[in-house]
Amino acid sequence: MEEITKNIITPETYLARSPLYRVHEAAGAHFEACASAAQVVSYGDQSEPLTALIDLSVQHRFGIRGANAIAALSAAGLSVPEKPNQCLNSANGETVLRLGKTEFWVLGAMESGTCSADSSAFADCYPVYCQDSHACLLLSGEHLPDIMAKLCGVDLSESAFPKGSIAQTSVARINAIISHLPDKEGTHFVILCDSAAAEYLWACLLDAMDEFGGKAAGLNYLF
Amino acid sequence: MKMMNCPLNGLRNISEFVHGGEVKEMPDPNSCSDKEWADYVFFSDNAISVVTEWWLHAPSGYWFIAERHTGSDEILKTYDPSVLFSERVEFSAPATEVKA
Amino acid sequence: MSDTNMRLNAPMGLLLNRNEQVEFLFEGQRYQGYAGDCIASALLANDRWLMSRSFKYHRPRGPLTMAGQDANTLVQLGGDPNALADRTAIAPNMQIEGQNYNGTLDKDRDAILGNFGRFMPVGFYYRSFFKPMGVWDKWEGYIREKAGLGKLDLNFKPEYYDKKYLFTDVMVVGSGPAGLSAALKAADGGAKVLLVEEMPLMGGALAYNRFDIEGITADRLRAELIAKVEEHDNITVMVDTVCNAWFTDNYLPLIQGKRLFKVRAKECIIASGAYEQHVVFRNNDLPGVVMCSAATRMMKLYAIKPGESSVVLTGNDDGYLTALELSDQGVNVKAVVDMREGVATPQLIDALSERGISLHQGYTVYEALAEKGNKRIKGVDVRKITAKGEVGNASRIIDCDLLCMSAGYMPAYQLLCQAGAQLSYADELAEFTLSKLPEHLHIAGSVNGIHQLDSVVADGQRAAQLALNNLNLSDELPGKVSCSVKPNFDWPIFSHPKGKDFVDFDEDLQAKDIVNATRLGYRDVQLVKRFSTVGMGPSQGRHSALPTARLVANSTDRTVTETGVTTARPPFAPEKLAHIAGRIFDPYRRTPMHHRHLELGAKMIPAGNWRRPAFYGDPNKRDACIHAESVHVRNKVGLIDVSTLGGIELKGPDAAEFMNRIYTFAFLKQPVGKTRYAVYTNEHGVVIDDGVACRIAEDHFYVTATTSGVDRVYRDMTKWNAQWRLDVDILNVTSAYCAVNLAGPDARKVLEKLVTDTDLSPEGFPFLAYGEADVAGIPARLLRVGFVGELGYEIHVPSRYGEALWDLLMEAGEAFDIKPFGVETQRLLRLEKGHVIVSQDTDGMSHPGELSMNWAVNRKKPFFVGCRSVDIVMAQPQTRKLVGFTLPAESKKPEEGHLVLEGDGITGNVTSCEYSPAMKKIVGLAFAGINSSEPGDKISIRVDGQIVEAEVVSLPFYDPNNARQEM
Repeated sequence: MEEITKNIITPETYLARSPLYRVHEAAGAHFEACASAAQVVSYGDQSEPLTALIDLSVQHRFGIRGANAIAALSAAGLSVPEKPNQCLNSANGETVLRLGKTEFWVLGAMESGTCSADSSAFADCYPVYCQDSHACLLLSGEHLPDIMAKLCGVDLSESAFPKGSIAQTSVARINAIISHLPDKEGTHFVILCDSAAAEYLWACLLDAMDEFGGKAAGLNYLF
Repeated sequence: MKMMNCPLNGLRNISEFVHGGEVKEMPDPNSCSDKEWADYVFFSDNAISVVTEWWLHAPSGYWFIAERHTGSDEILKTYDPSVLFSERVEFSAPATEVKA
Repeated sequence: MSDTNMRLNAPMGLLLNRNEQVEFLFEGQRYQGYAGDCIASALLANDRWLMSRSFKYHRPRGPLTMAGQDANTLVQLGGDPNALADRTAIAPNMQIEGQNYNGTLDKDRDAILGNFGRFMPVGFYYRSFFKPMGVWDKWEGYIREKAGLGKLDLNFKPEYYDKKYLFTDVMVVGSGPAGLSAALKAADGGAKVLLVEEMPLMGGALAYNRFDIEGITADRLRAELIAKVEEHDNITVMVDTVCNAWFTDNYLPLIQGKRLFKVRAKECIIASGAYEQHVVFRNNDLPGVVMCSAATRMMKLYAIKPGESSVVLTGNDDGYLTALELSDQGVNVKAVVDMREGVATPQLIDALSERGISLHQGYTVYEALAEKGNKRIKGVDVRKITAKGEVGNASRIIDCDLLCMSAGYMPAYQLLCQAGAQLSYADELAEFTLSKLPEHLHIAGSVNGIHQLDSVVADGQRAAQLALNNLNLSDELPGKVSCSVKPNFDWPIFSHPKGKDFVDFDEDLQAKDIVNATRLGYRDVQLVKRFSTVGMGPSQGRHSALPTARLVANSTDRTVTETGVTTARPPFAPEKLAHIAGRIFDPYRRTPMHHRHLELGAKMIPAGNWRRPAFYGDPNKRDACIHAESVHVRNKVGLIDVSTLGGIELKGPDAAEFMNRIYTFAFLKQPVGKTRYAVYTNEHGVVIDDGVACRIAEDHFYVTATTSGVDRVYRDMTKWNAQWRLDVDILNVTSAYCAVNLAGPDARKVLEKLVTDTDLSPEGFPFLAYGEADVAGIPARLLRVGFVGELGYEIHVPSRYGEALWDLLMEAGEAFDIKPFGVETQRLLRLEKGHVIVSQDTDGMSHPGELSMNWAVNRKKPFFVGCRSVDIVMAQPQTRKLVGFTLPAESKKPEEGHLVLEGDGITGNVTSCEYSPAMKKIVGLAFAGINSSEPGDKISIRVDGQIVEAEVVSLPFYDPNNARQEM
């Protein structure tokens, strides 16, 4: 038998941890280093579920706001969505979410999990600490509007909520920001929720997905 | 369930909103009489008419203004507070003895 | 038993799958039906008509509507009471019992109650057992035993129910000819349509009623419409689904199986149809007396031959068509009894005579005759109508085992009236009509008083056109639709001197019960309902509302419109609490260190929607654990998770100005790198929150707020600045930062092991200092605070590092015997220091003066929220004050809320009280009258009825010079 020599990465190897790492560990997830933390890459040897729920909380993101935000984003080469509640991909693979007239959140490219800058690079804007205030979950696959309709009172069907749309709403009675990722094959909803309520929402989402064959998965599901 | 149009987020269930009371003008706290102040703090017209109210869209933390008829409960319009409040408010009066 | 020979041939039995037999148990006996059968139809196929006993008189009852619109077929399904046997499909080995009998369903010993009917008028129980005092308590159990409906299984296991939203352009309620044509028209116009049907199959009356003499139109039209609907991409159909209410802005709950759908429809079309109405005559409740539509449903839907010989009693032409259908299916129709005279369509009369069915116009059934035990009808007494509600003496008995009746229709008005529609009675039609619908709600078909089939179809299209116009998908004018048929008979009520002429089957109410109620002075139909309970049963007035309105109007000399019907509130059909509860979303929040607390054996308690460790150790040894933890903090070092503390960040040129306007203290000149106590008063001058303000930079503040208060404070701040327009950014960072308080004489030594970039010496980082430091690789905000009264550091770090921070501190503290402590211990420690917890030690009236917080109020600045109110209340003579008190250790310990008395008067209450291990006494905070609020004064506290005298002392109790926290 071949000997396993590879170092096993656990979330506790790192100072920065996902609020959900215990849930992943209990379910036998595998982790890999990503953005100076442990990212779930797979859940054991499960076959590809029809719909997957993936924890991207450790991946990098940052927020800025204020009167200078639009100019600062453009200067940094990031895309600026035209209106509030829209999201747009940038050339570097990062996704820019416009949450208000002058509030923007930037999500790192999923494959690397990192951002080319953070809010400290935007000195004339106010920072928003969404890396820590929010957990970042990705719902990916089939039946997403149906799944979300069990938790949320906003119509997220393709016609009402096309790619590039954002809904700031209540999901299972907690506040959340749902973004329909642009320029990606298939349907992908990024759900940002209060990091302290991540375990709660994770359980609610898995429960809602169950009837559609949805399961927790890791980053490998996407690539 | 009733719906309300949030100027930032669009038509949403009323359960996403928090009522913030009527838009009222604050009398100058440093020069008004006790009675004027008490009227401002405690009394509401409570009339059957169109009222102008503060509403918060809780999931986005966005405050806006709604005009609503208290009889029919119909929401006539909603708009950003900058429509009513565009100037910086100052409280410059020195704190002197205030007489009732 | 097998039922195969009892069934009619196809195409009768639309719902049946004759290839699949299903066995089930009723009252312990095994029966067989087909898949698709409801319980009632499967029992009828086995020639079982008696299905339940009535509520009050225990009369035998069988199917009345075959559509779940009555209480006659309520059965017990295992632990589930009150299932509708005519709506619930049978399933293999289903166990079904009858309800409300003493003995067996067939031999109910309480059936004798029916003989005492005239001694038991409406209100009998309450009036008879009211006096003498206390007698009701003795009788209640017995009476409830006799009157109950079904049995609850108290050992039930919760099942999985949930809810789901649905969004659509147009929702159509009802899939009869009006609903189907409305759905098609709307879908053709480009709208997304949701079509909802209560029954398991589409078609409404087209599925069971006969609309023409030949009996071909209905099937043909139904097939045609359903085929179009099913292949239409824009239409979603939900069958077996009840729309249970209408709420504002077309918010419509649908119940299907174990799921409640919450529909949001831009436009809604109600095509809910109409309920066929019964005729009031003696024994109109016998098994075998059914609505015409019930008989046709039995035949068309379930292939049940409803009887061998039948009489049809009618007030409209539909009864004639029913007679034809019965005759075609081999039932010997002995007579059609038409309450009208000379109105019937001549072709129908001819069709009857062709089949040899005798016709009696201007006649009615005066009494149904029963077999012994009232278990089945055996004949009818037919008499000539001589005047309104009156009959002649000449009686003609016709033997039959089935009586089908139709006195007309009542629109299914419930959802529409919930939406504010007005119900009025058209005297010339003897029919209720609906008007004044809200803007995005439409009505079509027989619920709209349209009864001719072609008009019904046109009416559906008309309603859809209105919806399309509202959706801006069309701008055509909707066509006008009218109806020339009058299906309602004006007065289908024939009271019998011996009664049992039921108006309300659910509640066993007879015609005289309603009339008597009006004679006792209850003229208003709402009062008649409450007094007599008419319409309160499971069928909610579907059949009793119309005769009740007529009877009340008649006996109070008013019109039926004036009398009206009672309010129809949601739900439309019975629904389970489980449907309303659904999945039960109960959000909880966890700090990043949550799992460490569990591993350390914390006793967790709720704090808002957070969970916090109360203390660590045996949950049954609260006091011992708390005392040990508090002593440990006072002597060594302890660590507590304070992540639930609120945090708000203010940044921008006006940050200091904004702080100055929100909090009572002065903040413009607060030095960078220092903390300052911040008190928040509302506009009434009441203290509603407090925290610590850190000045990070000239234009940057970080201020904490209480766990429960932060959302409120943050909302207030953003609302104020929406008006003030200051140049400041306000950010709620509660979840972005987590925090611990490292406290105790050895706290510095522990922290120094992890912090190398900051001088933590008393000079370098003194009491009330703020600074940023690297804690073993974690970027941290350090606050020197004194909440628990020892040398202490609050360490705030981004949440992702929370657990690592906890681990590092516990590891670094090992050499100093560090121990975690819980929130209850923290409360004791701060109480020893006399620190107030806002909302525990304050109430809705507490102004800063009452809390001795005058020092934290700056009245030299121009403004803070509540400044004027604080001025006003503080200028008034103060009546009470929050004071510290002590009691000897062996004294009875007051609890929070115990009253502080002065003579007979109450001057205040205890807000916090604990035994203090550091002071070896009981210490507490209480509101005391102003005259006994000075150190040395005595206050009387009532503890469990006993008065204890406590001494008022100066605060803090422990370490009065604050030497320890400033080390």
